[in-house]
Amino acid sequence: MPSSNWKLGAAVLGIASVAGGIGVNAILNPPTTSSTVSGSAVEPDKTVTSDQIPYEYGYVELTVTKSAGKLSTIEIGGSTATDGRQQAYPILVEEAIKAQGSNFGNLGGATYTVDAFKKALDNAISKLG
Amino acid sequence: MNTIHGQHEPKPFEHIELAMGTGFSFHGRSSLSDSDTSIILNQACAILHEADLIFSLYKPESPLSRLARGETSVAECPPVVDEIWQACEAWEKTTDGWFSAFTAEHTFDPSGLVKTWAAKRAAEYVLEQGITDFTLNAGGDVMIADGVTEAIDWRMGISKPVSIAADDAGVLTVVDLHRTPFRAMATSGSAERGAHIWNPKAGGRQPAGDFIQVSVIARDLVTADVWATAAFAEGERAIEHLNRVDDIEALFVYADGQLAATNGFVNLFAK
Repeated sequence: MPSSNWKLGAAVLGIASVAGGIGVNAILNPPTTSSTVSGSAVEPDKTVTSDQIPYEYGYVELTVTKSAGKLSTIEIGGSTATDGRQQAYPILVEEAIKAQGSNFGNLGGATYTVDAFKKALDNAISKLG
Repeated sequence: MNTIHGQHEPKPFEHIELAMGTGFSFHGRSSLSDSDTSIILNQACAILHEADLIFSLYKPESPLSRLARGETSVAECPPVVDEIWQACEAWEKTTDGWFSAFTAEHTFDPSGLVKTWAAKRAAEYVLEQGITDFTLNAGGDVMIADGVTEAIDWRMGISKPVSIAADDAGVLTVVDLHRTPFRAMATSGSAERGAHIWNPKAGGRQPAGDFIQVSVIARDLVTADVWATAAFAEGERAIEHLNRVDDIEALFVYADGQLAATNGFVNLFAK
């Protein structure tokens, strides 16, 4: 892949980071809006619109719907990105959502300690299963 | 169970071993008997424990601890110490000095390499014994054996850059290495153990900046691990640096959550 593609990759991944919820999770899902559902009731669909998130090429605003505990749609509004990048977003955001929601055999990450490993066993099963 | 020339129907196995202060998980399918599979996995884990006995700097009587105190020489240590020493020197050159096992105090600390080096050797042992359909998760660094048969085993989640024990722990994204030359992913980050990667070029013990997590995908586990450590230490310039290295892709997470990647990484997203 030519190196000129890098910026596209970076821009797209910037959005993937929004989809993945790191850092901006608090913006997308502020604790005050989460409805507490008791027992085994199904969590209702929830749609929220993010703040405008500045990034390398401007800012981006996302409307996100969470269904059954998983992100189901992400719509982009207010993006100021230019140079044809905008056209690539819908496809790549879709890819990022699919990737996030798909199954996997192993979870990689920064080396954890035995203590965190033990604590995480239950945690990972409940969150990822 | 059907027995054909001593072979059984492939049967799933999972073996979790706590070693070197972290968890190692072998997961796959074996056509050998349960007892043979179990013996092989235990032998593989013995390789991990042996490496820990030699290289641990937390054990005061380990050869490495004695070496660090100047009580012994590399020549007097088990031969594997020299092997690792040579490997560390070679990797330091390959990474333009961004991976370094030689500390500011001029002692030798190869712990950045030993875990994945031992994991790779343990996996090679398992392969040699005839189990070829498995993955190994070495405390968050993952390798995939060539004989993996289940589609899911080609897919690896990458943790968000928070501790896996944190309330908001979860998956940042998922990559799929099926039909790629890549077999391993290693991640360096500060989420689990705090700042522990030092900038080898800064002098003294200055923590590396810019990123909170770097995941590197490569053909083998040690290569992925070394480059993840090096890129984390190098910071932002590592993006262009790794673009110039063959057979490596990487995903970088900045301290503010913004992501960046090498040119080809986007092709690895799971579909």
